[in-house]
Amino acid sequence: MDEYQLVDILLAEDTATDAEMTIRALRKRGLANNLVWVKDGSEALDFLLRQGKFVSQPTGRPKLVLLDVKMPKVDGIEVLRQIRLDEALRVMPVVMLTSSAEERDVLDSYRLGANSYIVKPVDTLDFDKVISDTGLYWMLVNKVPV
Amino acid sequence: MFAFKRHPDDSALPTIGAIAALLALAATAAIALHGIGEFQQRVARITHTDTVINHITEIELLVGETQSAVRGFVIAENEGFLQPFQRAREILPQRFVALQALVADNPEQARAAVLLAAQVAAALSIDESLLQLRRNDGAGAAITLVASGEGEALTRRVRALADGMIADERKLLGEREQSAAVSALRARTLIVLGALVGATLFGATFILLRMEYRRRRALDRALLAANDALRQRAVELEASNQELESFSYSISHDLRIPLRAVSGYARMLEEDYAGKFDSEGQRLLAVIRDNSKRMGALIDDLLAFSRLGRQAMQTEAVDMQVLLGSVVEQVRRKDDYPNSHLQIGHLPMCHGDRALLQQVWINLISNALKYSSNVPQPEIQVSGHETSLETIYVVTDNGVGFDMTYYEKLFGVFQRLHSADDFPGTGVGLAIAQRIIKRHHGRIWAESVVDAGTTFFFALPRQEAEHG
Repeated sequence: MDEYQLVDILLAEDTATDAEMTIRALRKRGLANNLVWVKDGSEALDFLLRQGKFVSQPTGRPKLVLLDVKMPKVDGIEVLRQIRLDEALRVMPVVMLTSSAEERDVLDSYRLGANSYIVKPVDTLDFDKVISDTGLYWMLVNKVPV
Repeated sequence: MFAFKRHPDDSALPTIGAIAALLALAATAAIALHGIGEFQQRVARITHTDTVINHITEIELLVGETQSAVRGFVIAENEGFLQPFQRAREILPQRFVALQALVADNPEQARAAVLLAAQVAAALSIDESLLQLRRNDGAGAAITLVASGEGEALTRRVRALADGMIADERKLLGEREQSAAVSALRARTLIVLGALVGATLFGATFILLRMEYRRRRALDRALLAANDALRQRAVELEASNQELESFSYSISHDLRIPLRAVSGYARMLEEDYAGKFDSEGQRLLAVIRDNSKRMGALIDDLLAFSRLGRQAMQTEAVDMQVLLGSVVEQVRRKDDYPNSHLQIGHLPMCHGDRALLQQVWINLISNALKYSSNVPQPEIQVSGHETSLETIYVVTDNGVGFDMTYYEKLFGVFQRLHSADDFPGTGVGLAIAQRIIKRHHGRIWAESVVDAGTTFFFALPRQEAEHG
């Protein structure tokens, strides 16, 4: 029942292989202990806004949200928009993850207040490094409002 | 598709037809006017003939009256009977003057008039003598003179002369009437003909104009149809462009995911089961990773190439010296080719999109470095110069060069003249450079000798810079 408060990272990613590699990269740095993985945008919103199957979750918010841009049903951009509309979630760090540096998506994400926009490298070593660096920075280096 | 041929002869025909028709009608009008003039002359001639005949008839009558009056006086010796005689003597000279004037244009009639006047004068003098005789010698002597028939003969001659003149006058009129009739007929024929010709020409002109109008209308319709087709084509092109865009988006996005998984899971295998693979197993895993990496690079380059087409250009004055300086620094930082010697000459300013031109320099310099990396002392020279129309930049290396036989493939996408084992690369760099230069309305070309080196040229138009 305390699961929600223990969550450090919410990972919204529809591609299972990407999710597994992301979680693996974070785990190597010890950052994946309190990670929740949801498979699309609507699940992400349900979790963050405590609705649907997450309705019984207590208050609180993750320290970091990793949002894949392209997801079925509700895409990452829309989840970001909803997050920024919510008073409690507005200041939560959100990092956009995507497979392509589509200029339109980058622009939309920054306009809606994304904290970072990261293109997932195809190369495995690069991918590991980018994910673990991102995790380390946002979980350990960065200071967020309490 | 459509032949927009000019028909200079056809389009001049209506004008020629209209002018000809107008000329025909003008000629007809002139002929008609001339005919009216002739008719008026004819009327005047008839009147003139009538006047002449009237004058002669009057003269004849006056002479007869005179004779009757004098004879009456001879018989009755009544002075009152002489009144017409007195009057004739007063009037006759006037009438002769008038007659002379009327027939002055006709020598024969003029001569006849003189003769008539003489005869009339003779007749009058006989009457005068008769009068004297009656007054001085009485009726008997006078009657004797009358009976002599001298006066009678004179009167007859007068009558004959007068009738001859009248007949001549009538004959003349007749001849003139005949010639007038001929010319009237000719005029009528000409008028009818002229009207017919004019009407025909107008008709023909009208038909020609109508044909021309129809031809134009058909051309207009064809043009409109062609425009519609073009517009339709533009819409289709736009649609296919958008399709291409979403295609390249999905290439960059969707193809990467499985690729990343292939490489990522190979790595997981390597990490988690390292001890269970022998060196061959390790090598195979490395091949998987290398190839997914290479495919990633291909996708990236293809995407970059397709983006070039839709990126908006931001043109400005570009200091190529500064731009190349930063490019060299950027390329050098990787330090892939530490032995290469780069010599940069004077580079004139140009006008273009700074970021795109930077990409051209990166691609050309990287190429020069790469393809000269296997010679003992790699030398790369960069220079620039201006012609009246273009600013030309030159990159020369002393590397492997390429066979000019395959020049056509040099700027093609994914086309390579060397194997990836000898020189790594995806074969997009020069295609990108060419696309950028083309978007600047410039030219890019190369000259090469195998094992001696390659020179790349690109030229940017100078007018663009002047127009600002």
